[in-house]
Amino acid sequence: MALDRFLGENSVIFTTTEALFDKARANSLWYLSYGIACCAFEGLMSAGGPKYDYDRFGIFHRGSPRQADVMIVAGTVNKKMAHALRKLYDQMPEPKWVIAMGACACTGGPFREYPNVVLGVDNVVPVDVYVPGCPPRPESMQYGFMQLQDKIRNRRKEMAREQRSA
Amino acid sequence: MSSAVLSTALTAAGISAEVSDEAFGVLARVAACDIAGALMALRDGDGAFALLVDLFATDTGDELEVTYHLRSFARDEDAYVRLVVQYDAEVPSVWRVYPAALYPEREAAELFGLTFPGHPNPKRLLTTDEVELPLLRKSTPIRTNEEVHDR
Repeated sequence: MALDRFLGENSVIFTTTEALFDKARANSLWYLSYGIACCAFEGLMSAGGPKYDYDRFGIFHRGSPRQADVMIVAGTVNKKMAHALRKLYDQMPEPKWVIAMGACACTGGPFREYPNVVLGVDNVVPVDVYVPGCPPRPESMQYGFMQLQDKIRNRRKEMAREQRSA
Repeated sequence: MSSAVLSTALTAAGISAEVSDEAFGVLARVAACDIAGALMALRDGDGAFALLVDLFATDTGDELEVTYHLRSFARDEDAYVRLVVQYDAEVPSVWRVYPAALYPEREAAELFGLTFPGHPNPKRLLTTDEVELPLLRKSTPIRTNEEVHDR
């Protein structure tokens, strides 16, 4: 087992189940194929294809929100699309995370002046990682996913720290 | 020439129109009340403009223009029919002539504040009820820098 390489053979670790699950969850981030603009070519298709190869991180696309852990919001969200976005997010099982990809999803981007455009998807769903760029390169998305993995792995540690300080 | 075909077909139907050659193609300007008759004359006449490619509105700053883009496969030619109306005006729906007008009429209605009497399903197409403004009119205010920064 891989743990033996780090801890030596026949070693024993003490942890909580949730912390152990989080280690596993970080390596199995299935994202919802929800491409609504040009960012989808970079962050979902190109990055998921053989050249950049998300699969080696355990990151894989799913067609149904019921099977997805991560939602990549890749594009401009207008007020009508915001309802669909919220509905898809609500359909995803817990635990779930959101990556706002690109300028449009983060702030409204080049369409920010148009009254029909939502100024950042954080007005609609809670966002975990923001990836700037217009559009971001696939490498940026991979870095964003690595940040999200760090966030998930250290989730219990952060929660314990907050409880101690509170 | 398509312009001769257009004026012949429209005159034969008893519709007064100004036909001109523009940079983008042949354009016939008609009155708003004549539009359904004009399109029917072009569809069934010698031009045989069988297809409505698109219908779109434009805000010139003073008034609204509604342009109908027609295509004739028999002649391998395009033609444009345009009418000029005031803001918030009524333009008769042409869906009985070209059913393809159903969606673009809904789009033009919501984005430019027009009404198309006779349309069987005059609902919004692209926006939700939260958006009240005719978004593509020139008078519609866009967000200021302050609004964007204070998001």
